[in-house]
Amino acid sequence: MIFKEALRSLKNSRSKAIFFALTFFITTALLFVYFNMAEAAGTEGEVYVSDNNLADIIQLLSKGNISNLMMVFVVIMCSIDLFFANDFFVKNKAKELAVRLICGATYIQLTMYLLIQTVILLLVSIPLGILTGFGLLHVFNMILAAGNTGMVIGISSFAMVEFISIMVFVVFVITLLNCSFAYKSGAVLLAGGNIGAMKKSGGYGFTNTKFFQLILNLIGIAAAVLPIAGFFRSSGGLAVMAIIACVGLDRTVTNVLIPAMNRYVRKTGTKSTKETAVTGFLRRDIQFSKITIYLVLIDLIVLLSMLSGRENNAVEELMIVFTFISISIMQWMTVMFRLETDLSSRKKEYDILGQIGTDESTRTKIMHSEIFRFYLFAGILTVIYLGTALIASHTAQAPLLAAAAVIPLIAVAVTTDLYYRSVLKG
Amino acid sequence: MDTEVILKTVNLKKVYNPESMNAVTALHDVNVEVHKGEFLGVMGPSGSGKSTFINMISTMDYPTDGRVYINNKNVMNMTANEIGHFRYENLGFIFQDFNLLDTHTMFENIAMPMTLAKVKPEVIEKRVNEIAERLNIKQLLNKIPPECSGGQRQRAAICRALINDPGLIVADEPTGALDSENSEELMELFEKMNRENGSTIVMVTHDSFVASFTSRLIFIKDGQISQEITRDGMDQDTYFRKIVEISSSSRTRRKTA
Ligand SMILES: Nc1ncnc2c1ncn2[C@@H]1O[C@H](COP(=O)(O)OP(=O)(O)O)[C@@H](O)[C@H]1O
Ligand SMILES: [Mg+2]
Repeated sequence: MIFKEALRSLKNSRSKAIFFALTFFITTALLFVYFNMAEAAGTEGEVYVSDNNLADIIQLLSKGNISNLMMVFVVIMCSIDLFFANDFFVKNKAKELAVRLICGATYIQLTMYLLIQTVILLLVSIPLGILTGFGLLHVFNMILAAGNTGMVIGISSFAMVEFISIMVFVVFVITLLNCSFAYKSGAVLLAGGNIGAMKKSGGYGFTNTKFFQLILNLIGIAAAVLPIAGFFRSSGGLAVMAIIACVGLDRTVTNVLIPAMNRYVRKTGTKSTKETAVTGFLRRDIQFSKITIYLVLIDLIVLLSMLSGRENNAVEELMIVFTFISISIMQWMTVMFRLETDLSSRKKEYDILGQIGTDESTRTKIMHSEIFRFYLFAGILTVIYLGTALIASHTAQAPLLAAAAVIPLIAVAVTTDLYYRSVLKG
Repeated sequence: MDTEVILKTVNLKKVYNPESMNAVTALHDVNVEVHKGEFLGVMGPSGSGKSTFINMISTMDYPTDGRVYINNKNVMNMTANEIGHFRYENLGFIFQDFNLLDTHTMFENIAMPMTLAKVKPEVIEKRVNEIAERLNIKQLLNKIPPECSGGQRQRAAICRALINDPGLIVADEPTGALDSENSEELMELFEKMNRENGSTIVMVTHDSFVASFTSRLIFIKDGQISQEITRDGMDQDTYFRKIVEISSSSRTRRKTA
């Protein structure tokens, strides 16, 4: 009976299920509040683009109804977060699925098996998210009333239609994800492949000359540093700068940081097992999870640019700050999910370290150090990029936003450490 | 024999999942002595307890009952620290499923035990290159194990086990993923280490030809030692035929039973 088995599988991966439901819960609350706020903010009077000229578009971006601009952004971000959360939730079931496939289960059955589990989690988290959304709107109305803004956020029917259609869309995306995962993991495992196999690092294929590499490295670093200068001019262009920065950052990570780590292992690592082990693990963690860190940076800077690069009314401002906080929480959780997806199979590595003679206290140190350095890396990037952007933005909410960016990071680091410990205990 | 006993088991017993319904007695009443400088082979059908046995004698796992002595010291009385030191200083263990770190390059994997033993970096670099050359994986040193074939990974695992010139080499089907040419190369390396460095070797295998390189052979069946032969100056061919005879007779016995 497929339903019973799905239920059992859900029970076995309880802690992962809780995190998945939590992501969904936050997404629901965010979208619910977001759409209603956007409706309330949009009643102010809008600017329309008349005949596609640039001046109007710029005016739209700087004065017009921000909800249009942000909606696509928020929905895409939520989908990405759910993708990683879903990935984290189902990845450890790959073997389970492959065995079922070999025993004759069809892809539809496999998808059902995963879907039943996800739907159960959705049935719990969506109503809770909506309830929380109601509560939050109430709190926001109190804040608006206290500020004498004369604005009220109601529950608009149009917002509810938007909200429901987006939720349907998101559930549809999750379904698709599960289908493709069921297909992929079955196919890969049947072929005897290794899903976790790391992609080769660095390299530009045909352009492997030393000189060319050097130029690319320099361009990479320049691209990563350049936008910092842009931040001090604080404008709507921040968002574009943020994206360029992350492309440059990625080049720097692949062509400077990772090779530097390789050299470090070869030199210092040969003197200390701990350094070899930690740096090796960290190298893998960064390559595996870096994309999620870039996403945090891009998202938060884009939201910040919406707050500082234009004039907002009270509801808009509240909406952006609220979105900033929620997205920060969700995105750091996404970083955690991504990392934990990989860490969940790391027990083998630590066992091997033990078998070749590393004692337990060293292994514990290696583990803490790996997690600490990973989040330190994320933290430093955040301080450099978001920090300069915050300073340049001159927003009154800067301390609040800084806290909103850093506190979830710390919380997530601690949680990852606890999770990792439980994985290694077996 | 008059040489020093470096490994000894007394009434060794191993039960997996002893408390549960599906308890498995993998070994019982196994008494073996391994002398310094010996090249001991272990043969037996799959599931007979060979891996269990060599995991016990090399501190990788602990017996349910009975005792294991390494250099006259009861393993159960060794501290975690002592066991760690023993592993990277005296023991080279080759696992049946390689057990390499997938997160680290082949070089880093092979170098790990020398790092633990605090060998100088220049020496490490040199040693790793030497042994990798010997086992034909020098060109793979900067790759990670998932990018290499089973045979290449096995050779990396062998390099890691041999890098510290361990006094005791314990190998669980080290030729399992190797072709005959690489198997023979490995056996010659083992013979050389056994002869020149006086390394003691305990090796599980199911290949009669590979087994013919040993100096003594024990056969395990259903968790117990069923037979034992020594080479005793026999030439390799005669020894090999004797091994084939014993393994096939145990097979026909099973068929007629
Ligand atoms: N970790 C384990 N848990 C439970 N049973 C095990 C475990 N390892 C081995 N066994 C069982 O112990 C017996 C001996 O296994 P093993 O020593 O691996 O055999 P061999 O190496 O000779 O093929 C087998 O019946 C096997 O199923
Ligand atoms: Mg075995």
